Amino acid sequence: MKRLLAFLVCLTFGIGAVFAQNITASGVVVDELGDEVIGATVVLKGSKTGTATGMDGDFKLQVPEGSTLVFSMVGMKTEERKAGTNMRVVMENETSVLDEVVVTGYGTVKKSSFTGSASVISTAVLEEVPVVNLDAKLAGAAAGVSVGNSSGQPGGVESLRIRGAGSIMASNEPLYVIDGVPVNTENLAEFGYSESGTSSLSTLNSNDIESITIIKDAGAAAMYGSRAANGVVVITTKNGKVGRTNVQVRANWGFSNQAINYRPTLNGRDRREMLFFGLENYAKNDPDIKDPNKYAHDNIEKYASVPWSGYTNWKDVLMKTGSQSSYEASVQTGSETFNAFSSLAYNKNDGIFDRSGFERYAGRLNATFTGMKNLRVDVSSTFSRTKQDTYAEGTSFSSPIMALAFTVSPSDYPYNEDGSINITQGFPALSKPLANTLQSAKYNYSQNDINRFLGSVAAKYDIYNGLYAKQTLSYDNISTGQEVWWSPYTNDGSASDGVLQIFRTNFRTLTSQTHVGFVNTFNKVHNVDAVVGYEIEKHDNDYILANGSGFPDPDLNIIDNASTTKSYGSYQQRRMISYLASGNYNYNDTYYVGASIRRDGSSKFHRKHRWGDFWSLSGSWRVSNQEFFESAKTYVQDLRLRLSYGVNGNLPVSNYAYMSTYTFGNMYFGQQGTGPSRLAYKELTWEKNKAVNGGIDVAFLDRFNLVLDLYSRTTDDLLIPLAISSATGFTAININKGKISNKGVELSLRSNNIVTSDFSWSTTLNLAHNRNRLVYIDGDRRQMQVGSSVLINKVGHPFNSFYMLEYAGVDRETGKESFYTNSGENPREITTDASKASIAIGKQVDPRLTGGLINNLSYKGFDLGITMTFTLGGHGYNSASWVNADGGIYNYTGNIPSFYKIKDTWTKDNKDAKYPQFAYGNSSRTSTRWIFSTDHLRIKNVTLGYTIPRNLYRNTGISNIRLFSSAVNLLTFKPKNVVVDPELPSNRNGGIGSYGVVTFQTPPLRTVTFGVDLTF
Amino acid sequence: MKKILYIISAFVLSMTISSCSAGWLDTSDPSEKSDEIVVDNLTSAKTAMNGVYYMIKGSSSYNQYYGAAMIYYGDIKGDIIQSTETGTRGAWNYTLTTITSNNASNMTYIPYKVINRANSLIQMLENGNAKDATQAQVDDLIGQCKIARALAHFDLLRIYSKFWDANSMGMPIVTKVENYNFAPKREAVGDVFSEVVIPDLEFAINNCNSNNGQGYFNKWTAQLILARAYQYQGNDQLAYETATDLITKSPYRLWSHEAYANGFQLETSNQANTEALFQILMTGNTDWTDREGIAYLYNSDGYYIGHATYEFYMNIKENYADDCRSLLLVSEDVQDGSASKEGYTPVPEISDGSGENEKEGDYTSSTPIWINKYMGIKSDDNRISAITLFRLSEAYFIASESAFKLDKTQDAADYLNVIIERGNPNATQVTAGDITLDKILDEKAVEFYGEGHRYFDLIRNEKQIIRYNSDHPQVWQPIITAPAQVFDRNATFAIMPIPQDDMNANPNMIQNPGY
Repeated sequence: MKRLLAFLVCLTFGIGAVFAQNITASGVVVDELGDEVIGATVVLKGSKTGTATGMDGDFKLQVPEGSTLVFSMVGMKTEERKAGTNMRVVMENETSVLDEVVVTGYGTVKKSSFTGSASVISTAVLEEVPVVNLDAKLAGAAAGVSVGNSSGQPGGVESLRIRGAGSIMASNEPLYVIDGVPVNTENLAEFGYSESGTSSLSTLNSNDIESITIIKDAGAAAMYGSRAANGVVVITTKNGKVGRTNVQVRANWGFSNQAINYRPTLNGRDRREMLFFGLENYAKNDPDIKDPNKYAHDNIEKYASVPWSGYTNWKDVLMKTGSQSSYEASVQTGSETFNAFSSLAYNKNDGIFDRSGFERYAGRLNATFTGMKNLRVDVSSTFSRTKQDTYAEGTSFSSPIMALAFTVSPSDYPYNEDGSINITQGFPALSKPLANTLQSAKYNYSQNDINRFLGSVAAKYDIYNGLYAKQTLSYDNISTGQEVWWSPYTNDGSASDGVLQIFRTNFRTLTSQTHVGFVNTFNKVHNVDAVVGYEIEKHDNDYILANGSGFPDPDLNIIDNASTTKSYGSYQQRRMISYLASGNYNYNDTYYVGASIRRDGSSKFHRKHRWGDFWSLSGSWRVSNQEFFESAKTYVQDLRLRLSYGVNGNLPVSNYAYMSTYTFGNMYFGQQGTGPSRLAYKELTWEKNKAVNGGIDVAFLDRFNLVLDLYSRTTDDLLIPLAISSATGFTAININKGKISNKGVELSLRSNNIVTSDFSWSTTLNLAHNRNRLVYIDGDRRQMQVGSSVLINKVGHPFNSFYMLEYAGVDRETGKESFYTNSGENPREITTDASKASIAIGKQVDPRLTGGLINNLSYKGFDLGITMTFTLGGHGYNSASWVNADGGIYNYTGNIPSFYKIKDTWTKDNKDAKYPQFAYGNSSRTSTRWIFSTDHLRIKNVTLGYTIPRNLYRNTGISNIRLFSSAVNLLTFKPKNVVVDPELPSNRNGGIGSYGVVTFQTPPLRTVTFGVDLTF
Repeated sequence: MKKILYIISAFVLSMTISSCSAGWLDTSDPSEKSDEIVVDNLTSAKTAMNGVYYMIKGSSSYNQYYGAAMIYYGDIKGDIIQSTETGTRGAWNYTLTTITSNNASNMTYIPYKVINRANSLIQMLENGNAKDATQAQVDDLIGQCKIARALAHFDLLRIYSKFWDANSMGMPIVTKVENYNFAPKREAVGDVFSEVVIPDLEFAINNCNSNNGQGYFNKWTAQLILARAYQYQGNDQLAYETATDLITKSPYRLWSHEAYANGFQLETSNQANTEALFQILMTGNTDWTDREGIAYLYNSDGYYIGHATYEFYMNIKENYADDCRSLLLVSEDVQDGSASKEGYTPVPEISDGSGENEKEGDYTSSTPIWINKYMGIKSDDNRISAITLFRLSEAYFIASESAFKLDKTQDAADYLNVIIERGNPNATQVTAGDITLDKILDEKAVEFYGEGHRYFDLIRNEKQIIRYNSDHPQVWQPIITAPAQVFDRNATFAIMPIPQDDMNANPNMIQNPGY
């Protein structure tokens, strides 16, 4: 988009008349690195006379002697020089935050004239960060934007929350817009054995991205109407820069392990000692057992015998060091008539367990044709093939992450003496030896093979004097082939003689956008831009699922060879039509007002309730442009106040939720049957997000840039599950009735600490606080809870608050867990009888404070970038009740978390112990004892680079050589008792019930890479 | 360049016009059909009819009606079948006293689904959607729907109301498709009978075919349900007339002594069974109720949730050893659909659990007795089975019981003796002189154990339900609280609480007293 402006500027100013005689000013324009700057505008000051620099950065211009030339280019600081011959003009890159460009998808505006709230992230410094997903690069980079993932398996779905959760039954994910076109970001995995899912964003090469703008307020987001309630992420991909042709080749290699020490367990000897102690305690509690020590001796071998191979360290057996490598090449070129960028990249990641990996081939071709009069054509296209391998997680018995934490103990041995996998002895926690996790890892697999094409063509025609028409067409095609195989040799497949499931899905999205716009300036002070548009989107998806079982030969596992097969298939579609209008006006870059309105019609609603109107109003005042401010400019260089209000919407997830429909497949006596599957709710409509945002931008002391935003967003017509009379034949329906609110404050402070020619250091601190409240459910109802979930949604409390017994520590006399009664006259009374205690609303999941700290340093050829992320005040619930059991049966058949130490558990001689008595047969009880703080500080990504001085390879054809090392999730500081990852798995589907509750999910990977980057 | 402009303008215009045309935003779900178009001919009407039967049959997730719960409710809540343990499925019917509106199993949901489906199809048929069907075909289908609707309303009364008292609170009546804000009142029991159950069944008797195949309702099914409804209402005269008329006029005949046990077997040919007026039928894993169906629940190799009490077992063993009905109380694995397979003991040797005089082969927890009325079609799997819901012998019992109550003791004895003789040709018959209501009910217990009748028969007749007390040994029965050991129909838990979800959802709903 910078290029677009550059082009427009060239168009407006570049074609000037040439005056007679005088001198011929000439020279070259270069940037800080000494590279030629092509297409820079050279104008005689105070006139329209000018030219643009050519392919070598050169220019010639006839001007009166002694006059001044103004050199300008978007993205670079404007320079003024006395005209002369053989000039060498060095233009510096624009670095000020306030002059960043905000890409809204409906145009590009300077950040200084943007009236809403947005964070612009330049991804250039993040290109070397070794992650496959885009989201990981956004962590910490913008205030109020938090990133979470469901699992650390490569290629898994990550979720982005902008200013809290505003929906319960619909999505909380933002809308992604790539090169102006909203794209599909669904989870592409249909099977749920792994909790990671497959991210559709991981099919794109994030290094093709030029910049990302995250729109947070309703002002600008309302342009996207019915899908913008959760914010908008606008992505612009790279294109060729005028006058620069280069080839860049980059490769890196590295390795991965887990970012934290996930759920460490006692080793074989300590475990045996602990179990012995627990048996003895059990016997001491039972007056019938005469000799507790003997009892423990008699029974210990059942649980903690030493296997033939000695105690097993299962981490060594199941876990491995992951690896990562990537190779990419890109080429870019640009002239006044044609710009292009093309890249080809290969990434390969291997996870930390077998059967976990990610591989991607991605190619891109972007081009802009500007050689025709008044017409500009932009083409953006990418093709990728992605292959993801995943293992089962959660409480699937073949989950290796659960195996290490819970189900396989040091007393179970992986291999027999002859080297074969042990599937005959032990593994009591998995209930049968055949379930040996090693066996599943060896024979089973689950993979997802994705092909994606995403392309768009945009033609823009300048009609007259700033009036233009633009037509964009985009097509996105994703096809997946997912295959899950349970071998007959494994516990998963043995009962059915092998099970093969193949899922083939296709997602097709066609988008057309027709815009007519107007940009102009009148009388030098009235700046106007406006656009009206008409857009349509058609999405359809289909699937075929084939299931085969009973394979006579497990090596020939294709559906044809199955003895029993079943198949399923269907398709769905959704459509949308939008009309929009938007206008911005500013007076002399001092007073800004903007307004937009959009009317969306969605096929997800009944005809009568299909159309929704979304609108916004915004304004800002650049105080520092006022004359009275001049005197303060010594201290405050820039000051701007912003205010916006807008209404936008959120669509329900289901494509047909409003209809009363009949479902088929209700088989009776071998024949098809059908019956009503859904009660009509014709009034179904959008969730409406009403948001107000106030902000202040200050640049002061020549060094600091501060952005402060206050916002309040309320979701009305919130979809909530309503219980209905079962006499209707149904028990619940989602209706638009609730209300949820998010209020918060965001601060972003950037400081250019040191700027010298050799050394520079800048720091950015992002902080955000969000307060989430459920305001209204549906009248009488004050709370909602799903089943026996440990979470409740209660009016006046945050969406998803923990709801359980309140733990009051170890009872000194009995060594049992004790609880606050939370009922009766003295709610702080303590009891060991859980039935006498009431469950109470407890801590909230979401952190009170989230933030990021980014430091960029450079010294001569060296550069260092560090991004740290942190949160405060959030909580999670450790739901692994099997092992959190003070000597429960699974501690005996499986593992014991290593926080259990004999000296920390209650005995008659140690009544003030941290933990209750550890005794065989105890059981775990849900209580606040297992709530943990997610406070943490993480060194999220670090990149250290060294650019080898160019004089060493001046004549080799190489223009730049850079060596770098980059790491992600390098270090994590968290409370010691937190045994899972403090970046909680976030429930990507919204909903009620599992948010913040963790069992066995792969933690994020720590990846360290080394690489080289060559530019020719 | 102008050309390009024209092209763009033309394109923009065409997109605008083509897309704007009405209906572009009307998409439909291809895996489902909107209710306006789902039935448009006889074939699709039959598909919708199957959907009604599907709901009666249930599935592994819809098991709160005839799939399982409706049957074990009538068994386990009575005195001859017990829960195996207190923690098994359905054991709340045994322990009883802990039932609250919050934890009670929701047994309103599936019957109302049946009603919803029936109403929906009736509406479509009455609107003439089945264009190629004759009036007789349409009336037959409407009749089948009305049988389903009547049965579901009737069953809701049986579970949630004092159905013997016409003036007491019944359940909401639903005779058309309602929308989500429907908040019906509970109608009087008598009104539910007179407004839905009886007229619907009468319609079916007049309009249904006499044979639609074994797995489908017909006019005789309707007549048997009607007789039962009258009996539950206490209308002995009409019950007697309806039942005897059925015995006389219907083509159905009792299974013979020899054929009795195998009569329960699944016959997939869909040939009419001689005695069973309606069986729920299955063919395989696409239409079974899997591990949540009554067959698997009662199977000793399945979840084995209930079996005969020691006392009932001893009664069968001592008094019915030669009776064909004893064959269905078995101790060994018999799952291949044959009730006369070698290698099992029809009446197992079982100890009284006291531990005294125990010998090999005596009852232990691993050699259970179990009810084999839901036999599997496959040798190792009874998840695919027939569920016999209505059979002719019930008409004999209705005839006998109502005759007795009408003081026609000879008639009462005659009808009962048909059943006794079929069970064991050598058994002692009853006479007009010695027949009593208890004899009829006890004989019915032997005839219908495991088929969900006993509890209702007891409360209908104001009998006590005695699980165990000083006269009736506990033996295998789990320990239960005193109120659940002996109770009658006035106990709070004799009828179920309206589920709390329904109370919350519907302000017009009134909870049953005591909950």
